[in-house]
Order: sequence, then C-alpha cells, then structure tokens
Amino acid sequence: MLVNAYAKSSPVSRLAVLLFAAVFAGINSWDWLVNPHVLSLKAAQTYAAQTDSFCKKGRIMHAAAQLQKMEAQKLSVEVKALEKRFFSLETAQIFFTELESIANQNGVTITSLKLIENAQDPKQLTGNGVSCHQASLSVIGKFVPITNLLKQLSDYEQKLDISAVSLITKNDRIECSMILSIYVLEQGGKK
Amino acid sequence: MNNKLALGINISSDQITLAMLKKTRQGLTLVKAVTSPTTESVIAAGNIKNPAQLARMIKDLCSKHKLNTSNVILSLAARPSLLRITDMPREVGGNVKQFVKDELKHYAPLAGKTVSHDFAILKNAKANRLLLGAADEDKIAGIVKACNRIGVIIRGIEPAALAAVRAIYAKHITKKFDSNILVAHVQDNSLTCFVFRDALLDFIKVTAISSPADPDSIQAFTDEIVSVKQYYQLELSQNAKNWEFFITGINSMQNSEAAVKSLQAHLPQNRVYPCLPQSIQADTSIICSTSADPVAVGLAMRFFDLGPAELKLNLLPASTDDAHNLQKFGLVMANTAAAAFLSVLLAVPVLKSKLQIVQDATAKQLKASDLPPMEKLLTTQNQHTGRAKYLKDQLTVLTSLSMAKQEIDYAQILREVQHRIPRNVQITKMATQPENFTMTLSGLAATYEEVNMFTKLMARSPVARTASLIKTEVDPTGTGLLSYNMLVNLAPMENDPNAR
Repeated sequence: MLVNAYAKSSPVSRLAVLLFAAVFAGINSWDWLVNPHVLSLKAAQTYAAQTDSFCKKGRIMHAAAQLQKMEAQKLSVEVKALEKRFFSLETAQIFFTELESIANQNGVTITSLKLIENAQDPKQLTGNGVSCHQASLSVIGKFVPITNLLKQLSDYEQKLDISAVSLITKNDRIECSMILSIYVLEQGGKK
Repeated sequence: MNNKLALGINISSDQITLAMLKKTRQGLTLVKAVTSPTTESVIAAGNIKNPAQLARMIKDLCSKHKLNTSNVILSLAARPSLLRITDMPREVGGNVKQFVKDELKHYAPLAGKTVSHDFAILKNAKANRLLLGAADEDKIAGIVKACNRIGVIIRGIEPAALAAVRAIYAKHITKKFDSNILVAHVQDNSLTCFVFRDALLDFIKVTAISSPADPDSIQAFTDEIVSVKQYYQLELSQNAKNWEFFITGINSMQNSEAAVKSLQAHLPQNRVYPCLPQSIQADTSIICSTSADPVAVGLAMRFFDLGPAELKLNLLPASTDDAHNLQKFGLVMANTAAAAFLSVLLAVPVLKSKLQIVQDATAKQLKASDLPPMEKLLTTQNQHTGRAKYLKDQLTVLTSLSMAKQEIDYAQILREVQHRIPRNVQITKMATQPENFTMTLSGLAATYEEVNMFTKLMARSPVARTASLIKTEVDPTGTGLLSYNMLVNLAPMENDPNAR
C-alpha cells in the first residue's frame, strides 16, 4: 500500500518525503555520530580547564604548605629553646623522686608529699601541650634549712612555683607546708 | 549556470539555427551561429515528430561547437498555435488571467487540449489590448523534457515571428513615428504579419502559405501583405502614412529577392527590406562578425530582456518549468545532503583528533605538574598549618610562663624575718595568703617594745610594704610572755625574669 501510494504521489510529495527523510537522517546521524564526540570534546576541554586550574591551585597550596612547614620548623626551634626551662613528664617524675634527697641535703625531712589531682593552674596560662601539676609538700626542720630548701626550689632549673607557704613551730623544730606547682611540657614539646 | 551566455534555437521544418549571445560591457555579442539541416523524421509540418532525436541533435550540435546549454530559448514548433491581439473589455479589470483563459476556450483548434499560454498587455492609449500566445502543451512538453533530460536547459519558448521582430526592433521599428512598419515573417508555411503604428504593435495576422520558393506562394505572400496595407488605407483611413516593409524568415537569398521584387512591384512607393542572416549586424543591435539567423538571435536576446516588454511571451509549460525547478531543487537538496553527510563523516575524525590533542595536553600537564593528589595536598597543608598554629600557641604559652616570675619569694621572706627578728621575740606560726599578698606572723615576745620593734623592722623590710600588729595580749597559757599577731602586706617581687 505504501509503495503504491509513493509511486502515485506527486514529485513535490516525493521530494517532501525525501527531504523529511534526509533531515531526519541528518539529525539522527548528527546525534549518533557527531554529537557524542562534540560532548566528549567539551567534557575534555572542561576537564583540561579544571586540570589547569587545579594545577595552579595545587602549586599555590603546595607553596603555602611549604611556607607553613618552614614556619612550623622555625617555631619548633624556638619552642626547643624554651623547652629546657620546663619539665617534661620524665623530668617531673625524676624531680618528685629526687625531692626527698634535696630536702635531706638541706637538713629537712619531708613529712608529706601529695599530688593534687585536677590541679588548676594558678597563672591560668597552660594549654597547648603545657600542663600544670601541683603537689602539697610538708617538711620539718630548722628555720635556716627550710629557708635554704625554699631558696633551692625557687632557683630550680625548670619552672617551679612555690605558693601558700605556712610555718608552725613544733617544739624546737618548724613544720613548713607549701604547694609546689610545676609546668610540664608534654611529649617534649612535640605534637 | 552562466547568466552571461544565452543560446537561441530556431527550429523550422528544414533547418535548425543556433545563435549564442554573450553579454559584455560593450553590449550583446554574437559568439557563434550554427545552422544544421533537419529531416522529416524529426520535424514535419511545423510539429516535432521525435523530440528525443531532436534534443540529441541539438545536444550534439552544441557539443560539437562548444555552445553553452544552460540558458536556451527555443522557438515554438507546434501546430496549431495561437498568436493574436485581443481587445480586452474595461470591465475585466485586474482579472486578466481569467479573461485569457476564457478567450482560449473559444479558440477551436486548441479545444479539449491542455494549453500552454502567455500574454502581454500592449501599450495602447485607446484600449486595453493583449498580445496572446498559446499552443498545445503536450507538443511543447515533449521537446522540453527531452532537452532538459540531456542537459539542454530550456528557459523559454517563444513564437519565431516574435523573436524575429525583437531582433530588428531596435534598428528598424523603434522611434519610427512617421511611418507604419509591417514585418512579415515566413516560417514553416506560415506568414505572420506585424503592423507597428507609431512604433507600437497594432496588428497581427497569421496566414498559412505554401513554400516561398513556389511562384504561387510568392504571389500569395505579396497579396497578403498588400491586403494588410489596403485594410489600413481603406478601413482606417491611413493614406497619409508612409509604409516600410521588412521581410524576415526567408533565409535563402534567391527566395528573398523574388519576394522583395514581387512586393516592390506592388508597392513601388514603399521601402521593402529583407532581413537576411548576412545583414544581421545592420538589422540588429548586437555586435557580430558573422551571419546569423535573426530569429535565433532574437530568441537569445529574449533571455537578456532586450526589446519591447509587450513582445515578450513564454510558452514554456508550467509543468515542465515546475519539474525543472523541482529537479534543480532536488539536485540542490541532494548535493546539500551529500555535503552535510560528508561534513558529518569528516567532523568525526576531526573531533576525535581534537579530543586526543586535548587529552594529551591534559595528561602532559598533569605529568609535568608533579603534584600529589589534591586530597593529599590539602591534608599536608592542613597538617602544616595545624602544627604551625599549635607551635605558635605553645610558644605563646611558654613565653608567657617564662616571663611570669614567682610572685612571692618565700626564701627571701624567711631570710628577712630571720635577720630582723629581735632576740626575745619568737615566731610560733607563719601563714601566707598569696591571693591577697599578705602574711600573718604569730608568736610570743618578752616585752611589748620588742614586738613593736619587730613590727617596725618588718615594715622596713624590702619584702613588705607595711607591717602592723593586729593583736597583742598576755599569753593565756600562763608563760608570762606577750602573745602577738602581726599582719604584713607583702611587696611583689621585682619584675626581672632573670632574677631567678
């Protein structure tokens, strides 16, 4: 039927049919053959532009990271310089262990040494790897040895604060109570 | 298509004449003129018997003489045909086409046939008049289709007599207001007489005659022309006017001379002039160096719209014209489609190569950048930034702690107390309140003066700002000594971190 209809159609109709078919084929061939490549090319061009942008950003970020690294190294050196003024966890333990011998050297006897849990930094400066440890120390001895002990503790190499000192005379000896605050640099100042 | 070249082809029973004109700056130039005899098997009695053979003959002639066949104007070779002037009533108004169709219905020889026709409105002050031409479409379509099929593109078909008039119009007819002009064209046993009054077409008469070579025919030819003149003299009282007679279509010199002699014998006072192929340069406005058939030249001139507009008819059937246009359109479409398809085919590799170039460039750029992945880069940057910030904050804390000195130097206080305490004064208790920088001393003394002295000495100490007795009383334990309480306002340490 269709063939017959086509055969009997006018030249204009045939041309219209052919034209439609050509347009249809053209559109479809464009869609099937060319358009995917066009889209791929567009995607590749976008990717190339993004890559270029990423490379530039990456270089900037890399440079910024290097600067930060250099700054961190510089700061690390500065921290290292101050590190010796503070206790580490290790030296803190040694200090408390050696405290008795220090007292004995000065001619006083430790009657009590208690670590204060959840100690609050009286200066409120701690943080960032620096913590405050406090201990309540009671010694008994003569006035001068106690003075010497206080002097030795005050002049200790690492940062050590003495507070709340009280003296009570007991017979011919003096009992001295105080609170020792030491500042500990955690992990030797490294994070 | 070359629009500067046109080929006029006059088809008659005995010969085909071709004339190619070229449009140049100087004017129309005759490029080539060709004549070839025909046979009765091709054309006879004014009708084309074998269109395909005729078309092939034309094509061969054109190929042989290298004639361009893009723009061909053919003479009408179809019988019966109509060429006449018709008066048009004023009430027709603008509906001329319908009037022409109605007129053609009354023309008996073409009754019942598909008619190809054309008309031109004549310039005439007295009445609206039409030049009307018509012929059997089937007879015309045959030769047109045959020609078009082999590449001879027919642009128009016109009666040969009109083409002859067009050819000589510029030289012999126009601007001749002092005489009547009669142009007699003889072709295929047909005499067509045109009368121009004041250079305007006024009258057409087509008469069948036998061959001009025959003496009887010459007499008939002469009588016909004389009768036209007499008609004007008697019916229209045109005695005073001069007459000029131009004879076209008689290509044989001998026949022409006989016809001219005959006419001059009957019209001794008037000019009789034969327009022959040999005198084409004198008779037409074209530039030429050889002889050519005036009809073929007139046909070619039609393509360039030369000559009076009212003498322009085109009997090319609309169907063949449409078919040709359609074919041309189809060809254009096919070429466009082919070009489009080719461009599609070419576009794919071009796009692929472009894609490859872009991808290669991207890969090269990535390789050249030598950077770690963005995620890792971000992590590294964050790590360095975080560490720098942490160290900065830590350094701030450490610096602050380093700068912060011991607020109260207890050893110094004890040394001051030791040095300043009088001999008979004893300390039993000492308590410091670092939060308000005070120290309380409690003890026993022998006398009040000594306690007072101790207080004054402590007040002068560098570790104290002030010192005052809060309370003194006799020791309640019965020792007989004096009990005292002293409040010392401590002075903060000198702000020298290196003092430690």
